[in-house]
Amino acid sequence: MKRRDFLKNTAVFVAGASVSISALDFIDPKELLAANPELRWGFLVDTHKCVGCGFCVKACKTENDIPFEANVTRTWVERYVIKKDGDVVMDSPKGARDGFTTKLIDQNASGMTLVPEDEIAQAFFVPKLCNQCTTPACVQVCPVGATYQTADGVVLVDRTWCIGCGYCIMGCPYGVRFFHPVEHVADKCTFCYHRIIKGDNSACAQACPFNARQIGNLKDPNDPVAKAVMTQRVGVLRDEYGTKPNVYYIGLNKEVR
Amino acid sequence: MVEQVAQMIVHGEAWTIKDLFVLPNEYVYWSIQIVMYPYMTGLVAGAFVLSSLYHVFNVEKLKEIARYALVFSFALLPVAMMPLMLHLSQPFRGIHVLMTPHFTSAISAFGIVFMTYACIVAAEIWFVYRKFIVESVHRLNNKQDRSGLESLLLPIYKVISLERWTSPKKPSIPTTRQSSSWQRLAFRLPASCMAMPDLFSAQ
Repeated sequence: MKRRDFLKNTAVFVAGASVSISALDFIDPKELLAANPELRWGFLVDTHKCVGCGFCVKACKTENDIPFEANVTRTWVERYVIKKDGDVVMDSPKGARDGFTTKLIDQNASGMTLVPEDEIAQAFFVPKLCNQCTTPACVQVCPVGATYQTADGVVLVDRTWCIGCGYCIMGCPYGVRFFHPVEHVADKCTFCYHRIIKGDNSACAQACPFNARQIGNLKDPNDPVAKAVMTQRVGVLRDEYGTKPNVYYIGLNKEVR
Repeated sequence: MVEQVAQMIVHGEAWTIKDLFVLPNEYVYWSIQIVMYPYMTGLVAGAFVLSSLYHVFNVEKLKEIARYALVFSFALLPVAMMPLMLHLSQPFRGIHVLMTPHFTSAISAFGIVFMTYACIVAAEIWFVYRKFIVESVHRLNNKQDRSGLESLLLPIYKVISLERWTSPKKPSIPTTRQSSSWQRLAFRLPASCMAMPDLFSAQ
């Protein structure tokens, strides 16, 4: 083949191929499935109302089949004790599954510590769960695409496709992911997706006796959660990571990690 | 009972020193196997560099070991993947990384780099050993009484030589003019890397 012919054939092929390829319209499955621009799940936690009873953790473990005794959980409650000298002591024994029944603070390998009451400046509880980030780090790092974000904003894990590499668990800045002790795949809070898509409340929000947890649609201006996020002073966790979390906290301290 | 115990054991609990961690879900999942992987990859890359020193940079001192290092590098490639695969909690699903790669993930992106590297090493082995392969085909073709092993090897050599052997009875070195055009291109590619203008004008 002469050089001239080669170049000519190449030009014809490229031109022809680009015309035919441009005719193909690639349809994103997400556009067809569950695409609802009017829906974006969000969560509101009022830390003033939380008493650390742990009902939410218990309800979550029961609803989502997370082994009860294992020290992994989709949601948990942290206890913060801030001393007058600025020290922060915190714990979450078994994710506060049984509530906080003692003033002793579980420091794991360092044992239990008791902060004398006259040294305490502040003490409060902070419930934690998956932030269903707008730009989730876990979805970015999954090598097989087994974890994904739905069109309404919830990040889910495909248990049949997850290879269990642990990259998402290492990547999550909030530590909400873990290996399911029975399924042996990554697991995380789903906002009880199987319930909320049917119009139910999430298990933790339903179990909360003080309405400290609320789930709602952030795109609906009449939704109580969306209203609170718009009108009240709310904060999010670890904003500096750029994950754009969607769990909003009322009464968030800077000490809360 | 066994089931209950299994439900209590969290992956990573055995080796995570729970001193700084007080929250649930805080376990170290990436352990010694992740460290073994770069070590093995170091051996793979080192062997490849060693062989390249002779084949590319003409370090004559390494002539004896150059071929061996190349094959060693290729053979160790799948072995280097083993610790990574064994660290998965679903080792049999490791192939999913190649089936549904997700390119924003560093693991997946490196899978592509790894496969490209494997292709490069395989190609270099082929170029280095091609003389041997072709010579073996001629030698075995000319042999009157081939042993069982040799009869087995002959078709293998013929296939991996990527050459068209016209007749098994009459061995002949096929010239480039006899071979088909894609084969001609395949043989010309390495040469064309060195002498690009030659590619089109040689006809």
